[in-house]
Amino acid sequence: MQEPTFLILTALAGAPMHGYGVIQEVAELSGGRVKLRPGTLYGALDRLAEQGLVTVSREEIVDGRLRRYYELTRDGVSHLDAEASRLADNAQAARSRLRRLATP
Amino acid sequence: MTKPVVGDAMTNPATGHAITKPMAGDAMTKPATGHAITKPMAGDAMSHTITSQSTKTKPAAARAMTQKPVGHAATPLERRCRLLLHAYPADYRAHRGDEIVATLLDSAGPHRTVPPLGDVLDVLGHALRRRMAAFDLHLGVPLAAPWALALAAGLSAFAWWRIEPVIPTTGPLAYAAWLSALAGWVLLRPGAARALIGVAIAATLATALLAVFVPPERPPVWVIMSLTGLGCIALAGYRPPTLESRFNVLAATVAVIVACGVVSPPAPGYYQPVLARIGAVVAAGVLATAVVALHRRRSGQSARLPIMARLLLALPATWLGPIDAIAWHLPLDDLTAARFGRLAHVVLATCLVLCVIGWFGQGGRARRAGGREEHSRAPFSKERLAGVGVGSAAGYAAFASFNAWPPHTIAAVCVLLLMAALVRARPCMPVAVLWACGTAVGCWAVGVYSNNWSTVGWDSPTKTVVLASMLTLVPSSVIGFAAVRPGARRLPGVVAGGWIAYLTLPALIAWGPLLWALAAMIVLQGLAEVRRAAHDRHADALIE
Repeated sequence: MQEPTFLILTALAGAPMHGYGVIQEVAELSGGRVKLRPGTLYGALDRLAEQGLVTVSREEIVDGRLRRYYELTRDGVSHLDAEASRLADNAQAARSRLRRLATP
Repeated sequence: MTKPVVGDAMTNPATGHAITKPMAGDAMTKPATGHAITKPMAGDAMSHTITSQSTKTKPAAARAMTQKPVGHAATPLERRCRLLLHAYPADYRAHRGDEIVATLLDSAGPHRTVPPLGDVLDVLGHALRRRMAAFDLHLGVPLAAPWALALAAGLSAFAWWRIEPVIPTTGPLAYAAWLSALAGWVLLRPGAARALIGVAIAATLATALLAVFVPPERPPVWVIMSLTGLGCIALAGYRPPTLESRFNVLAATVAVIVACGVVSPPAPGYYQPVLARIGAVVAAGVLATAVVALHRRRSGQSARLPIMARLLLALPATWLGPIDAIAWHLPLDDLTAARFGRLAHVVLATCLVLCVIGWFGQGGRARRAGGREEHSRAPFSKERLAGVGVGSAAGYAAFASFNAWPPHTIAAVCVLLLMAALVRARPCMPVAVLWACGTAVGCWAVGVYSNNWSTVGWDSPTKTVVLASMLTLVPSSVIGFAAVRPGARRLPGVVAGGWIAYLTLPALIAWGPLLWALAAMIVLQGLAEVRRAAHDRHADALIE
């Protein structure tokens, strides 16, 4: 799973969110490093929806602008969970090696 | 401010107060009311929210609102965002358009009048990918990319090695860029190699510009076009190469160079040594890989993607290989020779390749099918086809009335109008206007091109008008392509096919090798369709 995709799923794990909300949340999660643009975001959402990882939760119109909120499906939750544990394991392995390197 | 009494009012902590609509269908009629009175006051954080709780139904209500918001005039920014959205296919726009516009507006901030360039490029890139995905092209492009690079680099090396010493041009700028792109592919890490391909495309286009300022001429337009086309495929389909593919591409490039040197020039002159040789080699390469793809098919594997990749390569490759009817002293009358030159070859080949890609692509669409099939048929609705016919007739007639009206031109306009009439529908006006303008501009460009790039004082308007008539191959191909789609009226297609044959068959002998192969492919595909239809009828008869 690529980083932007992981961050989108992470953003949606908090609460259902609309497109611009996801962009802001991903920027915040990554410390401003990942700036999603609309074409990329909706391309990713299309793919995730096709894989059944996210779904539309509700729609509303604010000031004449359509906001469609997305949420994780059960598959999406387990997918993100698996990916997070994988990354955590990798990070854990790296940390333990680095500790050994620091204490000869 | 009057508080609207629509549905049950619900307070939304974020936005002040909101109107909740429980059903999407119901929302259709009322939101305008809500909006008319909800002009947000300056300095007031209050805005009005209408929530549609339905998640599965199409957001018809939502769309009806955002497209005609009362009391919420579209800002210039919003209008531009909506214009930008036309890059997406119509069915995708209907599905996602409003929320993409909303996100573009949200992320643009309050003071902008145009969307940020980064967002525009991002949307255009994804829209292009989405359009290509409709024909599974996005899967074929990565397969074609390494070969596109090999062909471009081989072509450049040959032209630099054998043609430049005879006729100096500004070409070496592009040729050097292509060879360094090849070196980058073989030796460098992926990011750098990709950037070098981009640089090579830019250098290719720059050769034409440079020729304005320095004494050497530019390379032939078709060489620039082919290099650019091959470059676009190489760039769009770029994937980090494996060690094997690094060597393969290098070997293929060397093969192209050597083969170009071996093919002897069919006739003296500028175009023949360059275009005919390179074109023949490129055609042989594309055909050889196509044979491999067909072999896969025979042995039961799927050949869709390899065939798609070859078709993509064939597009820029056919721009190289026309055989010059005049230089060959073929027994063609002036009119036919004027009609069938390089321009005719390029237009015909492009139309044929796109038709074949369209046919192969339909298989992919049919597989995905479902509810979207109706949307995907929209580009070929009867109204639009009639618009194409009427519009292109008008555009060509307008060009002719500034120049000349030989009998051939009168026939062309009549045939286009006949096709439009046979479609039996009211022409769609925007499409007709678009095609009229496009055809007129295209004809003018052909005139400028064929009169040694001068915009005034054309010697032979009659010949120019006849040459420009080759552009009628484009609307004819569109109408012909639409006619073979399931359930379409066949008669306009028959007329279109007849007109295409009349324009191009007299010069059959001047067709480049790829054009022959493409035509054969289309005939085979047509026969297969006829056989399948006969088989279906037979099966139906048996069942009854």
